[in-house]
Amino acid sequence: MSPPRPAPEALTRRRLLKRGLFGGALLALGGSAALATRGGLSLPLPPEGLQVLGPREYATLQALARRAFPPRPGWPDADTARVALTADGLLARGDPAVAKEVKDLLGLFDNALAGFLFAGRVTPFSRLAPEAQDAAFEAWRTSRLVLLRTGHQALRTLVYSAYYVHPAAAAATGYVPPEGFHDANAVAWKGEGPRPAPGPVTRKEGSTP
Amino acid sequence: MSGRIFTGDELTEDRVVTCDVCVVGSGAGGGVLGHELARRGLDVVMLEEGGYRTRRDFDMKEATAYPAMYQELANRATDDLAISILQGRTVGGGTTVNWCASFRTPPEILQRWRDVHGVKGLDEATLAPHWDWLEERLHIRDWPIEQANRNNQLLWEGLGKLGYSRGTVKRNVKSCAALGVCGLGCPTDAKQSMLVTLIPDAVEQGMRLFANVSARRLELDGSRVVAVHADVLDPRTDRPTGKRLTVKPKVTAVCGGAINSPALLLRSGLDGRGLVGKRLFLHPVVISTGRFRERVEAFFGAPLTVYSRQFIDRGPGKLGWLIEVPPIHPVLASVTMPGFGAAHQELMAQLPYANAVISITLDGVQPGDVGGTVSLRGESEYSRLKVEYPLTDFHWEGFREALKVAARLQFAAGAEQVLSPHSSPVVMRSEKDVALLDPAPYAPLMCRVASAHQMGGCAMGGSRETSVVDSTLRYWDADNLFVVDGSVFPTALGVNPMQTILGVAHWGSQHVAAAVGGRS
Repeated sequence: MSPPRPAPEALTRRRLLKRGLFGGALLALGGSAALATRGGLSLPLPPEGLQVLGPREYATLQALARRAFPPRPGWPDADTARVALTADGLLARGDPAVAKEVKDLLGLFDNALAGFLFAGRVTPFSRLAPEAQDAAFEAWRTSRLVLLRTGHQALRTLVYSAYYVHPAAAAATGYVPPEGFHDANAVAWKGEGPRPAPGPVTRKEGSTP
Repeated sequence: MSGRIFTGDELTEDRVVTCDVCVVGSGAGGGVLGHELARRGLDVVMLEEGGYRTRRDFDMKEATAYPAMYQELANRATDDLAISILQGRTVGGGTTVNWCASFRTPPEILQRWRDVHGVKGLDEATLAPHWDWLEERLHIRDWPIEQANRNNQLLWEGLGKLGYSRGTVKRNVKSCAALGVCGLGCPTDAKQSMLVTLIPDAVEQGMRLFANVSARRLELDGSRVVAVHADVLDPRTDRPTGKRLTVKPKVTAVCGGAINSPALLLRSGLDGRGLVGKRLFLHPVVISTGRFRERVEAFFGAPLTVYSRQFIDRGPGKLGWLIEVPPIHPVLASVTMPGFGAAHQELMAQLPYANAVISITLDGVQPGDVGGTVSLRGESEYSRLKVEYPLTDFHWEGFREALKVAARLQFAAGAEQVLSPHSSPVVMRSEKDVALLDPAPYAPLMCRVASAHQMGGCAMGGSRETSVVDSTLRYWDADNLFVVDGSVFPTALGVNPMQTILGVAHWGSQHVAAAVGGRS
């Protein structure tokens, strides 16, 4: 029997972002400022405003969402589901330090210099042709560097979570919450007066809705 | 005496309260402990970082449930994101959002705790009356196979056809309508969680519960905890309001679960000679997704009612596992199903035809398997916690073999296609394709791993040199500090942990109560 051994490579989110900063250092040393600051996609900002993401990060995430959710009959597309705006709301609800890391990650993902260093391309992700965007994101998934696979996982989880919380997206999969069971006016007992009775059950125990 | 539940929006000024016992956390451990102490007439204050959500809030939507009732909006994960971690964060803790599976602790696990880790006085016979009481009060009953949803029936059939052991799972429900939304909060209060059972009982007995209150630090004077310092959170944003709640108890019980309890101790400078946060066990899970010709609708019906422990013990040096099925709702499915773009959409479009088999691996019982670690990123009271869990060849071998068994089960039950959890999935169309799992890549983020059970981090044991708490759940180096939750488990269990946490807390409450009047 061989006892468990430590994983050979355990790069973390934090180290991923350090790599992003390292890219910034390379930029300063190598005189590649023009490459690193190449403009990405620009999108109109939502009228509600953004809480966490900046305009470029918002556009980068929405560009990724458009590839994640191509038009399909009966399904909301990425713009209808407002994926990047929903993601912004989720990030605002969570730990500010995590939001900062995601912002940095999106910056790295769309950064032309990082693209050049990691993949040999000089165009920001958000300005690539659709097929090239797919290939760029796929390259992060299959990378030998755990740090890029971590970034892929983080961005993928964010866009999927933000899309499938949309009621139309959830319904498109076939799931619609059972009706007639939720009582939004139920009493929330806090210790004052008698405890309320259990909620109504309108179906036989064990039956499937 | 009647107690009260307070929420963050009611705490508009700094407050200092005194009590006999401060219980930090309201889940399976804290809920039982608070009840047992209040029942004894003790003055109990319970702190819960999450909100006070009740059936009026349980609208059966993932969009509502995950951000409101799970740690880190259901995005908690190991530091490298290789293992996603589902963990409750609401009044009632995990018992409010879990899938109701109730198992007594396997006897061999209790024996291991005694023989290997030196735990004293905790065996089947000792725990039996505690479990008897809990099973009666929480209505823990068998859920007959006739009432199983199709997702569970498929597992039952697959297990039968392959000749594997199988059983039905007991559930803590009363008048359950089998809506399938246990993980999103029960809208009919059928689930007999701490939220609707022992916590209200305790409040009626005088317990004060403060929700939206985040315990940041324990203040010590010598070897005694003299205060618990907490931030009040805004229930709408989860951000600190700037108001503080200070609790001055005779005794403190930390019940925040296997990740937050070690983090609180570490923030308080209590590292247990380097042992706090160590031996974290996650029951790492791999998921095999099957597609059937018939509608399975795994999002409806009682979520988890069939199990098999056929492969829980594969012998020395091998990772064993428990087999069950999960509910499959869109958001959870989307992040666990492989692929991207149109291919992923096509999988999601087939959701009503999907069945999933989860293999829950039993970690911490093999020599050298020390699990993971909870630590802090910095020194301050507001340092973020970090969860690390190295996945090694030992784990990957177990995951691979578990996926092979799961695929065979699904084909035996009639699956027309089975997908592995690899980021580029192995696609199997018949039993003969199962061999394709052998050469697949097994590495972090190449093969998805999840956890819904967290244990360890403040291990109980017979020696202060090897454990964080003693066999009465008392922190070795403090007179009036206890840890009462799944973090005290010296190993994982190989079954869903709720009932073990309930039982250990019910048993351990006597020690906490005794400490109020002086050291027992």
